[in-house]
Amino acid sequence: MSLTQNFHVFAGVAESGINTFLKDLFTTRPHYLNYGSPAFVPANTVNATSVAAITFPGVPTGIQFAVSFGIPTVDLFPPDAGTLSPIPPGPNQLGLHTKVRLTVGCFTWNSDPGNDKRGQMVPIFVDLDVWALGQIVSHYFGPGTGFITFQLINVRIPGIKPEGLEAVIDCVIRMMLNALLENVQLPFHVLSAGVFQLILEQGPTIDQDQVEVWGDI
Amino acid sequence: MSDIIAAADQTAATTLLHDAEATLGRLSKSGGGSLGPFVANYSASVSFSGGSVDLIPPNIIQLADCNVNYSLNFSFGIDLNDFLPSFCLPQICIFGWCTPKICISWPTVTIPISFSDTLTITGDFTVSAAQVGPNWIVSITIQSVPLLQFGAGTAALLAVIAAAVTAAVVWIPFIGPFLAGLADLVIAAIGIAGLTGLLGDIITPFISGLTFTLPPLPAKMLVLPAGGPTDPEVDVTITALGAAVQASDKNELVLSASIA
Repeated sequence: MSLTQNFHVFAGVAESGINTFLKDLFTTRPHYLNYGSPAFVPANTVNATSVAAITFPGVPTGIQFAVSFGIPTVDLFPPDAGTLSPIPPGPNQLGLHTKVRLTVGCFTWNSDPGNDKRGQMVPIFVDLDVWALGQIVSHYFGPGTGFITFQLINVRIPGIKPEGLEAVIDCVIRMMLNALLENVQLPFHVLSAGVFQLILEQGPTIDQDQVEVWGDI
Repeated sequence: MSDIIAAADQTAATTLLHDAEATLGRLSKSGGGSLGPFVANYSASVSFSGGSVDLIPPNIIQLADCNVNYSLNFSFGIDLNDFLPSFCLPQICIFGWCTPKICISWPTVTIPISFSDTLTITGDFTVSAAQVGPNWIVSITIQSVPLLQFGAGTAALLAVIAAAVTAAVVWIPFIGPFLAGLADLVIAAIGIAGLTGLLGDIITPFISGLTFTLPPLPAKMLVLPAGGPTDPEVDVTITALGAAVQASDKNELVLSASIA
């Protein structure tokens, strides 16, 4: 079967290419992966994004926290042999694997007005293995312009008990990951290696461990 | 497995080649050559257009009926004494006074010619990819010089030369009766063989080694432009690029890239 099938051009990026792109993107812009409230990240830098602490009445500094993801890797359908994912990708889906470190600034303070000793913050953290299931979303604006990005539809962090807690953590991580993945925009001109300006007619689809598009020039 | 694969069928490959023809633009050169018994100096420019692509595995791109559009400006000198009879005014004596015998020496005239025409070529090209400096270049290079068929255009050029000869000598006194014959003599001296020989010498270098290139691919390929102080430019590096014609239910031009 020809690559172009019933179309005139075909472009495909293999799983390895997607992972190379992710590595280059997140190495260049690590602030997409690293977030922290001012106690951890006082200001926005290329390495980390500063976010507000969680306000809670009575906690003097608010709840300080940090979230740091590892560079994710994708597994395009069909799933890799021997994958450990609890939610391996089905047809036209991708699996995503990463790690996340959740850090909380555990703050203790003295509420006695006569005691002027300052509070102390001790960071405590947990590292979690994150498995996700997602799909490709296309944003096509015209010949050669536009990009593809990822959208997660499910996240699993195995081993958290009770199940209700896992559901809460899964949901929080899914929201965070989806938000950061909005920054992952792989332009169509990269899919075609810059050789031609694709007029998108079909795709993107995920098959044979690659993202595939078809069209004309 | 390559990281990126791009494929084009024959229709798309034809479009890419037409883009490459336009990118190649107009090529020029100048020189001198033999035009029958004369020496001609010329400047020539050539452009390529049209044609259709036939992809032949494993590595042949056959380009059929590609137009070679050429324009010539050349000039050659003719010593009219080679063609016209010598012309002498006889000595005349009146009452003992005699005029000298005067013989006309015909000048050498320079004939300027401007001519444009199109011929078509069909040839086999091979495709290859190589890194040249900061770019990857996909080249489609002709394998051998096809037979250049100078047809109706050649006859038209002979007519242009005849008209130019006439225009170049019309000012010369006494030559009127010889003009038509002069043009015929010059054309006969040049001949079709002389003309196609010169045209072949001029056009062949443009065809020999003819290479069309696809748009250069920066080895450092921009993925995302810089978006501010915390968002530097994101690039990937093309570490390898291959190009080949692959056969399946339809033949395709396939580019494969590895990135890092």
